[in-house]
Amino acid sequence: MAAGRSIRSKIIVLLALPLASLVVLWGYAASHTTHDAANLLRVDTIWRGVVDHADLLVARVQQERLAAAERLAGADDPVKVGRTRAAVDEASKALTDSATSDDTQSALNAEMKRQLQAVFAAAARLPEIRRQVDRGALTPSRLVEEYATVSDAVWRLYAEFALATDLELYRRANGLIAADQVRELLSREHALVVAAAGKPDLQLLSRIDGARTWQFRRAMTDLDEELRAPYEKVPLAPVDRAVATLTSGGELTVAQWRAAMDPALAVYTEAMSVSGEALLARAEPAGTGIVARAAVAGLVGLVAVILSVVVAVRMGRGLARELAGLRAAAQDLAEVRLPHLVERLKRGERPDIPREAIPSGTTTEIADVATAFGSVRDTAVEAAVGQAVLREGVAEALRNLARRSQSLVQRQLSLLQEMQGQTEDPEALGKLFKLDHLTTRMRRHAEGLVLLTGGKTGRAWRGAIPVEEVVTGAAAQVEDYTRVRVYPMPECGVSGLAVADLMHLFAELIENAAAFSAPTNEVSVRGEVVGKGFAVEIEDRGFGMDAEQLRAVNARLAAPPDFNPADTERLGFAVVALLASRHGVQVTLKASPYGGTTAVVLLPADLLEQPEPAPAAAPGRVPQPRQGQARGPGLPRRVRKVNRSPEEVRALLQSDGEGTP
Amino acid sequence: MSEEWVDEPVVRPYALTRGRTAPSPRAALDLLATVVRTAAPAPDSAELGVHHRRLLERLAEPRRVVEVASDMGLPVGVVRVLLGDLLEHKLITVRQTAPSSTMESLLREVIDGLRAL
Repeated sequence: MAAGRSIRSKIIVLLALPLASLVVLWGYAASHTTHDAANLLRVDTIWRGVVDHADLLVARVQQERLAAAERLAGADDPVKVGRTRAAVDEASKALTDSATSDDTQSALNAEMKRQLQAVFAAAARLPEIRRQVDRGALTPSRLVEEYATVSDAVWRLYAEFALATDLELYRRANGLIAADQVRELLSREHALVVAAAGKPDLQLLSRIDGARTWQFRRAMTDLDEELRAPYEKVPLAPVDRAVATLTSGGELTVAQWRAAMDPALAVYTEAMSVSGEALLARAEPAGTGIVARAAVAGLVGLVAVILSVVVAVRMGRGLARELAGLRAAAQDLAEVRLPHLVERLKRGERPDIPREAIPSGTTTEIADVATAFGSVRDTAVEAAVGQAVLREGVAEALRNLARRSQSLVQRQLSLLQEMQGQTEDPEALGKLFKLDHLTTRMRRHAEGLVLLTGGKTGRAWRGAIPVEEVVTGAAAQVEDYTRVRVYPMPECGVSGLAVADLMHLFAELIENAAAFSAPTNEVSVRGEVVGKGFAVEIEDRGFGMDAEQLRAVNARLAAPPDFNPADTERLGFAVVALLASRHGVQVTLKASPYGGTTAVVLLPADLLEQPEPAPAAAPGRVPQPRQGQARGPGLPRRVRKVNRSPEEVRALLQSDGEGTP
Repeated sequence: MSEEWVDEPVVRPYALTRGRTAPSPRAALDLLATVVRTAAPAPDSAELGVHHRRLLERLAEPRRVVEVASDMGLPVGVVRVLLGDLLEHKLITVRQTAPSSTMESLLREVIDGLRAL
């Protein structure tokens, strides 16, 4: 994969964005619900730390105020006054302790703390009010106003506690607070009338009463039917009538007033307790709901996120792995297995054709691609097999034809040999020589075709033949053989079985040297024994080849070619390469100091044999077509047989040698 | 169809003489002339190939041309050319036999041979 990014990185990019978004969304939802839960916790803390105690304080201040009103009217009970004051102080202390605890303070914001301080300040003024009450220095109106500072401060504090997470609950709570204020206003009216002994400041009374009436209606609209029901039982009508009597200038005794107001206050207080309980009972499931929501949003969301990540990563990796496997299989097929298979088919082998499926995964598309690769492979293999069969067929046809003409030429040469032995006339002999030369060259070409198409020369000698003789025989097969000069070489023989091939090899090189040099120049052939065997140098004095050509030809000589009918150029070199590789001979072309080319042929040591010394001629032998230089007795023979291996030929030759005297 | 040919001549006769069919000095080399090698050493020259040396080896004793030719399995014409080359390098001497006496002695040998049967 040279350019571009891998499928793995693309899958990572593809999955990373949705997964990151999912995590962020989950985080947002979880924090939101957690915030709600935290808020609920905070409301709970404030309720227990402040509201409960403040409620108690307000209720007790109302009682203290009533006791103080009685004192101002001169109808007091000192025990009752002291008890109510102690109760207020106790409630005030409890509120202070509870509200200033670390737990509660941490749940309050700055404005809440400020209002709380105002409540504390109002409570701190109580001793001063009490002293004025004890001195009788307060008018009933002042009494009501002084004590009102505490409850007013508490309500301002409550106004800051608008911390509801549920609109319905918030509204009902607001209604309850308003109802609480109604009770305070009732209590103020009560204290005002009692302190004034039935003759209150009518303006103040009507103002408070107006506020109370309006506030009660507001409270009732904020409460629903269930919460409203207890208040409907409160006997407010006698109170309203008593107030109306007073404000219209009528007279009422304190006893008459109290008969109207006391039961109303008592029932009202009862109603507040009932409705407060009811609202609390409703708030609990809401709180549970909030906590449950937070837990569900957090946990379920987390599970969903983890599941998504796991599934995405697994699928992504699976896909990447499948693709990687497919790629590896395809590359292996394209770069290793198919070329190897085709190579073996070219060499004429019949390897097992692989039919196994290319590994693929569970993804349909990838499996399809793998199947397609398999089809491509099968088609390619079939084509290669077909080509190999065709090539072999062509080669066999050519080989057969060449073999036939070689056979005929061989017979013609035997005939010529016989005629030459019987001719003494130099002129006739000269013509026979020319015919012989032409026939020899014909044989060489036929033999070349046999070799190229994978056959063997079919000629063999018993025993070893001196290299010099082999080279001389090779030179004779060349058109311009008179220009070839074979210089004397050290006595060294080559195996008779390799002679025909080597002669052909030398002939091709000598022919090449002669063809690429001027008709007047000699082609020199020299030989010497070297460390690794025997070296023969064939040197021409032509124009030579440039370095590039030399390199190309040497490369071609080093690798035996396949039979390729299309490549007709320099067939000679193809034959040389073939024969060289068959016998482990090394052929190198190099530039000659004369400007031409020198071919160096290195015969390996295992090809060399010591030639037998020529035996003395047996006396009295018939001097007839004796071929060869007295190399063993007997006539040259032509053995007709089918498919005989070189080993068999060797065995045959040996048994022949032993069998004759 | 595979045929094999064994032990044919490695070098075709025309190549031994480089195509020549008659000895160069036109020496009177009769079939029955006797040749023998001289004491002169063989020159280290490419003019004389491997077959010249082979021929020379066989002429340590005086031999007749026709005998040598049959011995080497070569056409007489070829042997004549080779001997002509050796003569030129003065490596052999030739003793011509009078045709009549040669004929007579030959016939005598034939008669003797027939009697012996």
